[in-house]
Amino acid sequence: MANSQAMCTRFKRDILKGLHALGTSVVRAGTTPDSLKMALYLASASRGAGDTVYNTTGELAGTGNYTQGGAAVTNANEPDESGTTAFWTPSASVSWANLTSSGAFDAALLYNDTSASDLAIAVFTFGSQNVTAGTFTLTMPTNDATTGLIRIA
Amino acid sequence: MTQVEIIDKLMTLRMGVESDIVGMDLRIVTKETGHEQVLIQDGDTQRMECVKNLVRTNGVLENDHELTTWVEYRYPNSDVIVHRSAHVTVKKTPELSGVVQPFG
Repeated sequence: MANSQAMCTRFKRDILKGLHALGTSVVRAGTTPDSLKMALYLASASRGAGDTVYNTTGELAGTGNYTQGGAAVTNANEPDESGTTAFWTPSASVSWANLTSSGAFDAALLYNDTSASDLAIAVFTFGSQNVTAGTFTLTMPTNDATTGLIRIA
Repeated sequence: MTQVEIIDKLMTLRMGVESDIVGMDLRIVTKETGHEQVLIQDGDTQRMECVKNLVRTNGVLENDHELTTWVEYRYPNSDVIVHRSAHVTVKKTPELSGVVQPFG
């Protein structure tokens, strides 16, 4: 055997579980899972890795049965690990019914609705869509190390 | 093979896509008339309309990241879409790499 430099897979998983606080002050006090939301953004918006918090810039207007802030994300899945990858995926689709979008949209921001500042988690893009008096559904991928929605490899 | 033929082939190969589309466009059958109805946008309001009065088109987009199906309705001889639903199945998203920096 020999030593090998690596980030421990359990650490990757435990980041997703909120078990580590590496900052100079511990700001987390809650002991229950956070509430998450997904918001939809116009194709003309500029969401991406630089996002730090949820905001309404470029979000669908609050018309046509869309409520700014987005929809709740169902989370009944525990973060898990397989091989050297930690992963987590929402446990249900996110859906908007009777929706008439205020324009073409192609991105969804997943954010932490429990945090006071609505901390951003990830931006997901898809083919640009317009919805008229219809349903828009985001179905989640298989929750595993290969396709899970959030993966730390 | 044309784009339409590719879509038709995908629809045929992927059992359940058609029923997914039907299921997601909120069609209902009224007991009184037996007619299928779908929610449409009529100006600023939404109302139900008989499917038989509308022209329906649908399609599929598939790549490494998503499988998207959509369905839309128009009145005959009109370009105005009065109903459009879309269903995005996320297949794979970018992963985060966890790395450690060697000493020295």
